[in-house]
Amino acid sequence: MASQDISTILSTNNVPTETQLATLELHKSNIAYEQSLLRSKLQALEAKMEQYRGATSPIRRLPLELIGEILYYASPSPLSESNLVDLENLCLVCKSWNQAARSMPKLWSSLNIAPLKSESFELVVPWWKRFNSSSRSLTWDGPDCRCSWENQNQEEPDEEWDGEPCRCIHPVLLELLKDGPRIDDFTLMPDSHQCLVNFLDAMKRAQGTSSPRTWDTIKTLTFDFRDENGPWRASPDAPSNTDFLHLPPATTLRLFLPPSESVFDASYEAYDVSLNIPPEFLRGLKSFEMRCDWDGIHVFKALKDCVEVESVYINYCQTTEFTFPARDVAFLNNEVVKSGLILPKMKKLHIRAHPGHTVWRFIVSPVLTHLDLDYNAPNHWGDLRTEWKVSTDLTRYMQLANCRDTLRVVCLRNLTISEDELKAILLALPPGLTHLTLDNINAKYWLVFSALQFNFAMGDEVLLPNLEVWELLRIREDMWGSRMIMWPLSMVMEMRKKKCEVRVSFQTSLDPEVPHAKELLEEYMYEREAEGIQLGPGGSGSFFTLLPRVYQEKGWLHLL
Amino acid sequence: MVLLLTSDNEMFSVAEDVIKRSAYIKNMLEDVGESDLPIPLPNVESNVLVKILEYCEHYRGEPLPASDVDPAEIGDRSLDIADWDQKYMAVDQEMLFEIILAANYLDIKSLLDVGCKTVAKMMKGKSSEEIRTLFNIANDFTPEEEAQIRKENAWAECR
Repeated sequence: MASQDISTILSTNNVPTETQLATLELHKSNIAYEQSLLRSKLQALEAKMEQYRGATSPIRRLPLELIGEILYYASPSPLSESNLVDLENLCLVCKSWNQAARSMPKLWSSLNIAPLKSESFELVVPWWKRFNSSSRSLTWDGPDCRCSWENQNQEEPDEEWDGEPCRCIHPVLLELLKDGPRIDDFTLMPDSHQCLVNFLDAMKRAQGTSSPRTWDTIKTLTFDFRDENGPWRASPDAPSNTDFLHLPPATTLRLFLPPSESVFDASYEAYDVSLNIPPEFLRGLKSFEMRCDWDGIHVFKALKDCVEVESVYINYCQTTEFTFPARDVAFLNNEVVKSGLILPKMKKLHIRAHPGHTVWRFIVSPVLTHLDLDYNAPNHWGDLRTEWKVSTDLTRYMQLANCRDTLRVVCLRNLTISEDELKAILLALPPGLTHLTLDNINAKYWLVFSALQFNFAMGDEVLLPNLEVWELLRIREDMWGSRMIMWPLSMVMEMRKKKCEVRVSFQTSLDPEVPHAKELLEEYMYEREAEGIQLGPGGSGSFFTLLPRVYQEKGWLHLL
Repeated sequence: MVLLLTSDNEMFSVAEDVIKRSAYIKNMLEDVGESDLPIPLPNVESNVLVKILEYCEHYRGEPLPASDVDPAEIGDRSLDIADWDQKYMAVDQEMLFEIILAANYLDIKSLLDVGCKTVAKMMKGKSSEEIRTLFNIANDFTPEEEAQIRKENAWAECR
């Protein structure tokens, strides 16, 4: 009777009586109880299902080495005290991931330490020793070091100096370099010349418990001075006082000197500074890299003894002209200009931002295969023509260096030249060349290619017959001209017999303040892609690749 | 044309220059020479092979990467992935890991790198617990083991 009453109430809009109301409340609580039971059961089933899903997930089938590869891309590099937690997170996912990370030494091989105080780092040495990496790299960054030459030698030091010792002679650094694990690649970032002197002096005296010390087996040595540096103390020429004595027998030296203006009151002060890198150390180098905008002949002097070097990279940092004191002019005339600077084993030469009369004109390198010249010319967008005589320089260099037959790769970067000069460069390059890169060359390419096309039609020899890769990068998309490059270029390529890959990228510039700048860029990209597709493979089997990319630089949006 | 037989017994006829992106198949073709017999792929299902062939077809004609150059070996840890590759990898997790496994088995280094980078990007900035949830991974550490791992890296944590 009661259940009949309830179903009547449930199926109508009648108001329940007191008795019916009590029954309804009782039923409601029964239903709520059943609901909670079912919810618990559902949750248990869902958890079980998750377990089953996890058990059948293909990630479980990934072998440890593949998990290691994934962790390699996911983990930070170089490791530092601030980002080690990210790698730790990956290790803490599960036992197999921890095992994968530990069995991949390259995850742990690169370490960057920037000590701000002396404590806490003693744990680094045993920690790093645990990972059996075959090749380790250590960067020791000594920022804001208060030890200046003045502070340690003057009677009344800087008031703010708290007497803290130089960060480049930190006990942990010395411990790592005396008795630490094997380190192949060591970078010191001194805050001043004094820091370097302190460091090398400490390493001279540091005795390890075993021989050789870690320091003595370093293969790649980098001294990277900061842009804002303390004064450079002019050291006497006497070998016993030179800064760079007691270097390990490394095969690669990367010496990034601080900007002249940050270490000298007047640029001529650099004349009197002698780096005095020991000749026997330079003679053991296979690779040498130097950043130097100091007046004088520091690069020449260093290169003079690099007789075994195979790769040289000099960065002059936008210096346009050097001045030399009289004694250095004599050195240049007697030791460099007459016989040339002989580097008999050098295969790769990369010079960035070199001034007009500089090192590459005097180097004799009979086995050179790669020449990379970055003129780093100002990035003007106007119709600027400079006085660079690159073709003449190239011809003279190949003749003097005796490398015309061995040269295979030439890269020219960041230069503004006339179409006649560009044509002369292309014709001056040796026929054995296989790779040519013209990157950010401001010239009317379409005029050059049209002229070459005409010349070849008239029976001239094919341009660079052995070329396999030709990169024309960051062609300027200016008012007119560069949009018309592709047609004569494809004609020039079709006249060739040998297959050549041509990689082309354009750049344009839009003020980000211009309304719809982003939309304009996207439209431009679409047009370039469309042009790339239309070109297709050339008749000779050469094919074109268009490389679209957007990047932002100095407040301007550029499109590659 | 090259015949490929998948683990679920589907036969695929593929142009040689397409499938030669797989170093495994390329080496096999060079070792065995021309043959009408299908190459069995017991570790690859047909739906995965379809996806792999889409990749190989897209990069058809482009130079094969030098086999001795491993981007990881030269220290390239960039997570940049080309636009087309990103779209290609926009698949469910199961397929993503199947592609990685197949790329590893077929020795297609560029595809394997894209796969590993895609998974690495998914994990970027996530805690270990979030990564476990993302990939259905059980936490099999005891609290003591977790504490031990943290202790080992204490030189960084105590600062």
